[in-house]
Amino acid sequence: MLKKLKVEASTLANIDKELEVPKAWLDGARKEGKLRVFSTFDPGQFEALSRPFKERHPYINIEYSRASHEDRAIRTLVAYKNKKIVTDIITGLGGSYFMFKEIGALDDMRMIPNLKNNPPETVDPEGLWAGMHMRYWCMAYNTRQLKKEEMPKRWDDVLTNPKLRNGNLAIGNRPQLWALSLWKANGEKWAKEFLTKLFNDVKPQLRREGMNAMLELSAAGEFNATIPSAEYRTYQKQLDGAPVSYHCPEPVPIAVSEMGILKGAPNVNAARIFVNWFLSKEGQIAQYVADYAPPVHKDLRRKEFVPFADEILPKKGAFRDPAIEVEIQPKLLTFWDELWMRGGGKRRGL
Amino acid sequence: MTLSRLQLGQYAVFLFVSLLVSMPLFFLVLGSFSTAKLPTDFSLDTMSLQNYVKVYSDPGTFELFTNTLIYVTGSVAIGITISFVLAWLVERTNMQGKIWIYAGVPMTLAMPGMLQAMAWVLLLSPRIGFINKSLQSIFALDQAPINIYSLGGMVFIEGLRLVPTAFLMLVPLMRSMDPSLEEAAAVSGARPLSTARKITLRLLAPGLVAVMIYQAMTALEVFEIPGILGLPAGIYVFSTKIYAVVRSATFLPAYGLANALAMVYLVIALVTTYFYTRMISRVERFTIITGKGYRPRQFDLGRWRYPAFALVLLYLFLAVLLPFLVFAYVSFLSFLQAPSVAALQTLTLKNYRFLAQYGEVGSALRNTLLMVLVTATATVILSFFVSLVVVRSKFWGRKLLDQLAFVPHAIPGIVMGIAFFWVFLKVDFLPIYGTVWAMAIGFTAGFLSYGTRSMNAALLQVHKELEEAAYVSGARPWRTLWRVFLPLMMPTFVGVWIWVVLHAVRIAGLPLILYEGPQNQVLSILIWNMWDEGYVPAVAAIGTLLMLSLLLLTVAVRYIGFRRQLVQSPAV
Amino acid sequence: MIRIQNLHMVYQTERGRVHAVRGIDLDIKQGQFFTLLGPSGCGKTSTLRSVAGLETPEEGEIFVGNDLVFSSTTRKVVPPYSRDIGMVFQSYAIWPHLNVFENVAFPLREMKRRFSQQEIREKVDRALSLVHLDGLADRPAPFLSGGQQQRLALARAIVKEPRVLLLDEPLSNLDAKLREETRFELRELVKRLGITTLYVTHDQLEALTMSDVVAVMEEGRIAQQGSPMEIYQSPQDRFVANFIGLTNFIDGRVKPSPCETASIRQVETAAGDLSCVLEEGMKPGDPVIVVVRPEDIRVITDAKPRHNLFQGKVNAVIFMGDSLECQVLVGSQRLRTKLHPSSAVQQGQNISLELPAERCRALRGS
Repeated sequence: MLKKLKVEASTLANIDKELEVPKAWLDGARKEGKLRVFSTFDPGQFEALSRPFKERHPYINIEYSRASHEDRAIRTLVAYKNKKIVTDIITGLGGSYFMFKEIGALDDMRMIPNLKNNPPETVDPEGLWAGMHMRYWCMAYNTRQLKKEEMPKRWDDVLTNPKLRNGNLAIGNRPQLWALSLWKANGEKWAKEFLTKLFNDVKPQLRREGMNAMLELSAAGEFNATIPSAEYRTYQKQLDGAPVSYHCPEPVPIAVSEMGILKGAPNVNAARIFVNWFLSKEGQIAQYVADYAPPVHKDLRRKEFVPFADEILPKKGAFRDPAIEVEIQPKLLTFWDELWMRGGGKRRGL
Repeated sequence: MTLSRLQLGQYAVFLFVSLLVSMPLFFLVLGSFSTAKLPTDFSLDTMSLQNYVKVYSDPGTFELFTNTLIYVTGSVAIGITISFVLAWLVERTNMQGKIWIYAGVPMTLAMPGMLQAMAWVLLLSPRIGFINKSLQSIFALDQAPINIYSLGGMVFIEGLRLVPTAFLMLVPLMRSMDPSLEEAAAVSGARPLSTARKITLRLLAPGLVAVMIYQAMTALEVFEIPGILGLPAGIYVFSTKIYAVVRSATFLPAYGLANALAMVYLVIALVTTYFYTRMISRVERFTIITGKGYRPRQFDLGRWRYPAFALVLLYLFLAVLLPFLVFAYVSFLSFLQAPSVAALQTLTLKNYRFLAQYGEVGSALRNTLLMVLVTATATVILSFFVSLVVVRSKFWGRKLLDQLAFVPHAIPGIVMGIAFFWVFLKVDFLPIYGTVWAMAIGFTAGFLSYGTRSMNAALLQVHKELEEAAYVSGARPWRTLWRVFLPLMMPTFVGVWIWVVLHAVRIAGLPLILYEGPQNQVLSILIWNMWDEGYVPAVAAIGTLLMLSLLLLTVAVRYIGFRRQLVQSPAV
Repeated sequence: MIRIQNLHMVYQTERGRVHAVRGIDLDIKQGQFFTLLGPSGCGKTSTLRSVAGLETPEEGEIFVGNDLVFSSTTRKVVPPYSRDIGMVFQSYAIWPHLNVFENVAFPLREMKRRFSQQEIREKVDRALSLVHLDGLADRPAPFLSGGQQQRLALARAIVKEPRVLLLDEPLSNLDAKLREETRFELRELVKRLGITTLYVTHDQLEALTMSDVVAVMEEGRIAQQGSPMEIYQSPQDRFVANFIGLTNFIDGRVKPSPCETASIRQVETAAGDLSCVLEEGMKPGDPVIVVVRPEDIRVITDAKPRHNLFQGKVNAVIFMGDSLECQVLVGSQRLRTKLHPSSAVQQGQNISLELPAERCRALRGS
């Protein structure tokens, strides 16, 4: 796997050493024998990315389930409050992180060695969560309808771009993925004006399908561009032969997907070993290979590990960290819901 | 001896159903007052009317009412009209090829809603819809003639979706009409149309209204069609609002708000249940019951046979074949694209290969099989006993029992899911949580409403004297059940069983909440996750396979049932 | 064999409480053919069903054989399947999903005692041949004609040789000819088997031709009970007289007579004085209704003096197939007579009628 990528040898040095963990953990993991993970990877991809881990630790049987955000977070929380720990590792906490913190559901992970590989803004100071990969939320577009040069350079340009008007642009119902970072970066006033004009002037198609299904639709030509779209998924579709590509207006909304261990998890040793492995070079590269998810490891933030690197890396970024979530998110969401329900200037068919 | 064994049995059924139904109800009502972040944190200090205030003081909520009203009335009108015509053709005329209707109509029951909506988007989207594009090129039009993203589009598609269940409920109604009532009219000088209007329709009216009420509640609750087809046009209905609240942008879904909204459904359910039961008791009065089986008069279509059959084929084409062709086509694509020569050149089998290797397809299928079988069987058995008490006994609470069985139909699947999720967490001395049994129980509570409608209607057909003859012949109640009721009701049992199987396979709302991991992952969750991941062609592949298997299932069962019917029908 | 004491039955309907049976006492002897006769709503079917155990009375006691099967005082209710009875329903209640054999065999399979296949076969065949349904054992039940289904119901009811046979208007769905044949066969069958039979009907012809005892019921009570002959010839009140057979009713008043204890005395009527049979204790001046059957009235063509001779005019002549019904106006009184079909009577002709005194009975009037 690693050879396929033609990565510099120096990057791959010391992989094994990086993966050393206290013996107590290994013994504990042997006794536990299993590990439960809740995440958003599709099972095939998780299978692929965890293969190197399984080679190293064949005695740990991983039970993986995939569930969308609300279900995962809600169920885990409600179960936790009722003294049931339904998983060991949970990822993609997002805004519900604070709820987990409030009830003390997350374990302190600061003793995990490879936590230090993560840049400071991608780790919780108290060690309750660690970023597992970078995520960029920009625009995907249909290359038959739009050319790269026509794409808006800054977010403000989205409002004035003629080719994105009147239903040529589709937006999904997840502002916290992209608009949140923009709000933080450009300020509340800007954000409110921008969103209002987006709904009222640009009149995009509001879609119920998930972000990924919307990508398919734009490939089919149902609309020319879609917001927000994740880089890894767009890349996968492009590899499938779909006429889609990826573009990021500035500033680029950057997020990190969080991973945490539930406090009191029965398979805590296996969990720690896994998190440690995941945050190592091997784990991060395995993830990239399986999913095209950009590594968060500070030594791997490089072009060859970021799809559409030219679109993303040179530009100014707007980072979304959990702190701003608790502060800004409720305001954003109330504002957004209002606009969304209004339909942004109703166009009725029949 | 204060209570006979019979009465004990009646109490047992009553208590069991009350328990089963009251859990989600209780949760719905209580949760609507809860402003706690987690849906299951009930405590006095988080209880308030705030949710209600928020939801009902929002002028946006009331705008929804108009849309919802149009949407529901329109789709029910279309759905009931089509199913009425189909049921009438099948039961009251001498049309040929009836087995196509019997087999074909229920097939759409198992199609996931989002898949069906997607199929129609591909057919009638103003930008890429295949039909639109063809029409545009044939007639040299500038703009696409039909826009599926419209209230009309939503009404049409939902109307088509309501047909199978309405059909299944109307067929027994048609079958039970006493021909002499119509013959009396004919002899009194009334022409066929007049007889139809004054006699037939009047007699069918209560049953028809009952079916309409039931389907109106179905249309109210469904969210995939209005979601996918309505949103791009900015059209909101009540169910989309509820689901928007639940799966919304909020970082933790506001279930309290959703519950407050869903209370409207409960109120509607209570009101309609009242009218519904009144309708049903009128049906009972109008249904002439005898111990002799007979078939109502068959109307001779004459020259109209062929147009009628063409009409049926048209329906089957629109509702079943066309979407199926779309799925089949999409299932061979790498990525979504409108049909074209270029597209046809890129056809691939990779989606089917993907399915074969996708994580837990094997275990999902096994889980689904188990869950579906348990649910269907449990629903049939429970509905039967509930019906026995409601229709045949003198138990004081039997009307209440009937209403209790009906009400869950009004509760959105997600709300049911959370209610049971919470209950199973609490009741942790029983190892139900996180298993397929949890889903089976939750589903049964919901499907009970359909099961009891069917069983009630069928049980009314069984003449009381057939039961009494068994008693005086020495058969105790259990033996009478086994030797008389069961065989006579077997067609209904099979019908309900199949209906439940088809629905349990398709519905994702409740299972998603109760899903814990590979041990209780079922097909609908798999489909939903794949969809969410954006593997649209793969989902289309599943849809294609699903429809093919169901076609085989329904044809097989109908063929067997049909032949038995032909053998059993009296010469009289 | 069947004893009913003080039976009361009350129903709760939309229109309120209906007191359907108001204190009935019956004592049916072993082997008797006992008929409850009356118009619809008189309570006869309710009574039958409470003997069957299909309905629970409000009050009273019911004995089948020596067993108390119902008692309101001790709150004892024996369910129908424990009562050792056979019953034929008005709708026949043939199970459509079973064939003829299985329909008949059903009660045998429900008994505590286990019969072998051979025994069941024998009993069923015997029952079928008793009702003349031999050879139809394998036919699906719905494929039988109405008359055959009725006999099937009967076979089923008698197959386990119950103590008591209950029949709820079993002939009402048959055509006239079939009814006539079946009446005879039915009575013959139950007499041969010696089963005590309780029969319910609204058809007085059935009651008269088949029964040993007839109880005429009116509005929940027994109006009169007796042999068919008694009921027919000596009805005790207007209702019974009217219900059974055709009757002429003549209003009148008792005349004073020299011998007050004679059984035949004079009654003053609109048509003249009538000699008739009076009940004991009737005094001059008492209002009475004289009943005389049409077939007892004779047309007189000779000039011999007779009692109760009346002149009248023929108002209508109706051909009844086996007789001629002749309506005659005597003054303002309309009388019906029954004549041989060959009688040459014309409408409008004058006619002399004799009402034999011993055939005229005076009932208490109001």
